[in-house]
Amino acid sequence: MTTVGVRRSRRLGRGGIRRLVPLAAVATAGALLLSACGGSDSGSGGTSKSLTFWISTVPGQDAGWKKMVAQYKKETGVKVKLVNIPYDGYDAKLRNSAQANSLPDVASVPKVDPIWANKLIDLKSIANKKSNKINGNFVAKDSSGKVLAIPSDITASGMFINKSLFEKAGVDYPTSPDKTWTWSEFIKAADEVREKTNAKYSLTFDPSPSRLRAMVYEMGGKYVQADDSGKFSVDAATKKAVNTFVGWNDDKTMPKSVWTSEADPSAMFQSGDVVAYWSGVWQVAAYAESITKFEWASVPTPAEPVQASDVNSGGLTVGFNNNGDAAAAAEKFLSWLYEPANYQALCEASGFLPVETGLNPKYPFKSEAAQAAFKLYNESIPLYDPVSGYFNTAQTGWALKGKTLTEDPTTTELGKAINGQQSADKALENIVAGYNQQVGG
Amino acid sequence: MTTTDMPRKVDAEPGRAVPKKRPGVARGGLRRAVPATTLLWVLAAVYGFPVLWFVLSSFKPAGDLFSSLALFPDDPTLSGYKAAWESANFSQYFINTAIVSVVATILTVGVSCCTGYALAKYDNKWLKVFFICILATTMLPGEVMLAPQFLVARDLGLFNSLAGIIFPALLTATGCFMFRQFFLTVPDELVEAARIDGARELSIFLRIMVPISRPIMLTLAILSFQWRWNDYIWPLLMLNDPNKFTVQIGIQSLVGAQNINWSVVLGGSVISMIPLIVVFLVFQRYVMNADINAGLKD
Repeated sequence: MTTVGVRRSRRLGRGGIRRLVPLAAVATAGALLLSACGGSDSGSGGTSKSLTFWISTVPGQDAGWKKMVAQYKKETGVKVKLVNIPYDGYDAKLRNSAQANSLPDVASVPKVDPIWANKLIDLKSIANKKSNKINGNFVAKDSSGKVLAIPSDITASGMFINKSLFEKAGVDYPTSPDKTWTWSEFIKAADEVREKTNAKYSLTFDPSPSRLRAMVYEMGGKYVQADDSGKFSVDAATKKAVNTFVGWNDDKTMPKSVWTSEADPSAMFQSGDVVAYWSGVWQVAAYAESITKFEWASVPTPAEPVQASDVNSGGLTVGFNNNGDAAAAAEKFLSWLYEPANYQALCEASGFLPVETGLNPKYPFKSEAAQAAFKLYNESIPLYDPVSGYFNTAQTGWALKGKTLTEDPTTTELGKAINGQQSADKALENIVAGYNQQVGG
Repeated sequence: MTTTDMPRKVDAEPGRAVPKKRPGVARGGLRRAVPATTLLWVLAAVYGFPVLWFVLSSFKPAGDLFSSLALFPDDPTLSGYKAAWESANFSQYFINTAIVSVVATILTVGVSCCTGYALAKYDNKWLKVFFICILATTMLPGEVMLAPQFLVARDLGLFNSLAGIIFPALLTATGCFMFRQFFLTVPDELVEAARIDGARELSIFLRIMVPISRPIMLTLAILSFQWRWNDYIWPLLMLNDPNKFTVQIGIQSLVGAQNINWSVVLGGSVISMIPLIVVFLVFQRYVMNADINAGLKD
């Protein structure tokens, strides 16, 4: 190899520079041309005649939103541009859009974020309108009573069973939330079905803090809650429930792989080799189409002794104050959307569980199992204990304090407990520490 | 006389006849080749099988996807592909992604070639500092640079434009490093000889250096095209207008917060792979056939 002194030169001849100039000019022109490809239509800051509405849903399940914006255009002449944003990265996109002054006019968001919470318009007039009958437990408010967000729909945990396996084993299951079973009775029945039918597992359980919270609530615990000083702790019933849960992961009752190595519990259930699946009500719409090899059913959520679930917002509808005209138009659109007749039409087309009471949506599912499931959940939700809405409300409170539970340590810590790396009690200690660190005080 | 009439040199010199291969050597070579070839085929099967399963599964109906582990679909259907294509404006996404990938690749190769040449052949302390800065960018996680990069792009007026995806991606440490290392292997005597012959710096670069760096260009072009085609988070952050979305945003929008329609996702994913496979098949031939060292090492 040659030496540096010989190899390198400081020369770039005048002729070289002369020839570089046209190249640079071409590059700059290209840059300007490409810049011109965008910019003007930033997707925000609408007018009284046009609005931008961000949603995040699987294509095909956005039918309700599409129907409503078309209906609104027909009735009022205002065009609402629907933009479907992928869920993965939606939070980051909202934050960056807030920085770029490019927020939409209306959005259905996963949670309120402190970065843009101060840009929200007050939806009090819609939430408090008596004829709307919006369930106030799920409305996000700040300390002054300003309504920041109204759920587009509500979600809860749901128990799905392989009805064909239950029938094959000759084991009964409850069908009414008034006469539901305890977790002990459910596990006993599921184990019996597994043994009689040679199924692989009795239960798969979403690796989700929400699903665990629902089970803990049903067993009389409060999971991780803060006291008045903002310090988190767990109660004895929670410890007992979590220990029970970890014990179920024995590769018979439940597969260890779901909570320890991200195996897909839904795929396992859909394979037909699993007796039951503890997941969310939103699975109904998917299973109505995708399960064709066996019969499935939704059964009432267990109560031991508490009838509860972890009830969340499927999406929080918010309006952003981009400018006077757009903000007024956004509020007008949302006011129209939450009118009971319009909102029921949205729920029916999208397969939503309504946040408004007194509605009787008729869902377009062809599947009888799906129709029965929605009927069951609509009957069950009013029976749930108030603890069911704790986490949903707490999240908004944290956001208003500028805090966010960026990463719930539940799945990781319990995965270690299931793997035998630590006890369930130690896992709970670490989970509490994680909550205190992120949203405590 | 045509060249075909010329006797081969070895035939013209009987005293230096080509030594015949001994049968034992051939058998030995075969003995060594069989396990190696077998191993390669096994590895190819190990890596290829999941892809084959993935592609074949995309032809299964949604109801069969998890209930049957058979490799081949019992009742092949294109419903997943149809649903994926109809679920979003995929044709527009393809056009957008093609513009981004092609333009970014051309510019990336050009910029990297110029930068690599300057770093290898010019002596300036600021160039060294610049090179260290470029290398330092590889030592930071992408997430760390995401926010400042976004702010810079926004302040340059690139937000919600395809240019906002293209320009921040141009200067890649990998590309600069590849070209720098290649140009270091090119003897300086070649440059000096050109200078003595009266060639100017730009001529030396464009007429001598650029042509001999073709293998690196093609290798980087394949890599760059793949990076841009598969890029997800940056286009998602930069683009607000669905008419400017890229293919990966379209694919990701098939995955919901709670549930995934795997049949549709598989169809969409296979569709998104096709351009990348075509690019690789077209260009890998040049890369494989090219002599990366170009016979110019010192």
